[in-house]
Amino acid sequence: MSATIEPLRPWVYPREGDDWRSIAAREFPDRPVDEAVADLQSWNLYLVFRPAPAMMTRSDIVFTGPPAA
Amino acid sequence: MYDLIIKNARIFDGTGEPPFHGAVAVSEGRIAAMGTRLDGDARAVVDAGGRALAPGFIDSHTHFDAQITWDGLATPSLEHGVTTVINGNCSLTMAPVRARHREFVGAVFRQIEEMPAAAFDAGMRWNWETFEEYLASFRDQLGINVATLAGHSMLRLWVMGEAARERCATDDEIARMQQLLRECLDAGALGLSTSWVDIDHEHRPVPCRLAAPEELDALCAVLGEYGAVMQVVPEFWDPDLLCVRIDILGELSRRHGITVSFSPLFDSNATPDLVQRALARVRLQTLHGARVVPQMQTRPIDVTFEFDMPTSVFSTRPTWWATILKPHAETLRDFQDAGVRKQLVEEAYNGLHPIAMEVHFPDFIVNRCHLAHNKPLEGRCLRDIAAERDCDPVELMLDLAVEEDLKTCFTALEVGHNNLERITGPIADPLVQIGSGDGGAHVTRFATYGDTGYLFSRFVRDAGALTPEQAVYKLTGQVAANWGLVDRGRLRPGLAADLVLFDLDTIDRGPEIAVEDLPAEGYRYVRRARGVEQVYVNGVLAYSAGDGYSGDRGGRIVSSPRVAA
Repeated sequence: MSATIEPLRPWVYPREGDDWRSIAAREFPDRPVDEAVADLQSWNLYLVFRPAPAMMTRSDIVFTGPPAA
Repeated sequence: MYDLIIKNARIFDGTGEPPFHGAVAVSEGRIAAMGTRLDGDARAVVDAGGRALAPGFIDSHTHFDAQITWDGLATPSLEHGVTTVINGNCSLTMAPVRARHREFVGAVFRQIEEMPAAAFDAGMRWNWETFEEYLASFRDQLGINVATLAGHSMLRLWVMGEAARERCATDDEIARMQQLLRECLDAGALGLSTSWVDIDHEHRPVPCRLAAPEELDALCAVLGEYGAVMQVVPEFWDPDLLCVRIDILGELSRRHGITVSFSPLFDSNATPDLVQRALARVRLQTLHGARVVPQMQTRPIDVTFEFDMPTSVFSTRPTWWATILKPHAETLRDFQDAGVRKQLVEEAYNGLHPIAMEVHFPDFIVNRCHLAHNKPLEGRCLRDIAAERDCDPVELMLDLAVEEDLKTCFTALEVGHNNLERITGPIADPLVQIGSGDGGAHVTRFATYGDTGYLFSRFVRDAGALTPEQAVYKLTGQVAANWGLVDRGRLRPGLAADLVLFDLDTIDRGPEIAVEDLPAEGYRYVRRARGVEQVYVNGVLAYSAGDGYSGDRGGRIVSSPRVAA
């Protein structure tokens, strides 16, 4: 069987130094950044509410699409 | 002349095949012969009386990394029939650790694995730095077989120093980590462990979480050279995140030809479809050629706590969490402050449940009291006591804690993994390995022992979800195959004579009890075994129900397949 498995939901890894705005600008270049950030955060509440001082890390998953309805 | 013959036994060979009535002979620590009839003499003959004889159980997820340095039996796992423990899970190991990082590593281990600081400090000799030196420090005192994973966080710390907690590794640092992992594997490490969720004592991500995907991929390439395994802790409470992690693990498995195992696969009322969704994803990855092994524990989670140490039960209730994190005197003062108490009570009833747990304060049990006049309350539910006293259960808990200088011990019963209807199918699923027991960890919070007996009592005898031979396979042959333990987990002539003799009708875990057997008179929660008659490690009688631990040391270090060969 082919090794290609479609992801259930789109996602990316953060890059070094990334924040919400840089991810939004990269993943949604055609959208207003503030709007894209709001969407990104709503799809990744586990990162938004991660208690300080924990930060977003390179091994985290950032969803770039909503959960299945 | 054999060293030992165990005759008149119902023999389960660890492959999942039905048992047969016969005998097993042992010589020089290995199985010499077995069959329905066995000729020859032996220095010792045991009549099993028709009891079950199986390969020693293998506990694939333990944290005896510290305890094994002062307790070569990994008590009480051995008495539950466990003859091999796999340490070093979740990226945390006691080696390789440079002397200057001992304080940090100790603090992280005590935080995540909930080991009392006094016991840890008194027990740890720290007379090693490298992985080889660490294994050598306890190799000769083992009464149980020990396999140890190399912790990804420790590899980073060794190579990068403090920067391991701050940033990604450079290409050169990744290459040095690869070489260090090879050195660990050559010294006897079974594989690698990492984590995508753990936090340290300062609530920062453990070092391995700072790794870029390329770093983990490079380390998995080394595992591929050795045929070694990787264990990881994923976001086990979130179905979408868990499914992505399963896909990542599947890709790593295929690319490097390795087995990857995640733990825990955890059922919760908060996410009732999680296990089925995760298993569907594992099944898909398996069909595509990956070896992704979910580990599932058998027991529901009970959490026992006192208010002088933070516990995850309160992690999603900000006022409780902030109050408990304060110094002892300030916590006491806050518990008596009318304003704070009002907030605490409000949060107790209306706060968020912690991840993967369902917590109801009035159902907490008064586990242990410090003052004599409160002893009659032990074992009783806060709700019932409060009803008698015509007061609020949460106020009652605070009053008790204050009166006893925060020494009262409470238990939140069955806060997760407690839905038998949902768990039974996955426990029996051939893709699922029994694991995640956490032996040696959380010792002041709950007992992490006896999952083996519980598998038989709950899922074989009560639920009928597994045949006895399937249960034995899940605790022996399946684990050995998944983890590359080439000469354990089955009964075959030539293989190691790790054996457990037990009563299929009574094997179980006993009740949770507190014992003060850690260094510095530290206490921990344990469970004693029921129905386990004898345990042999490499042919040496290590434990018997009649005489307890023999004191004879037959345990070995268990290595990755290439090194073991």
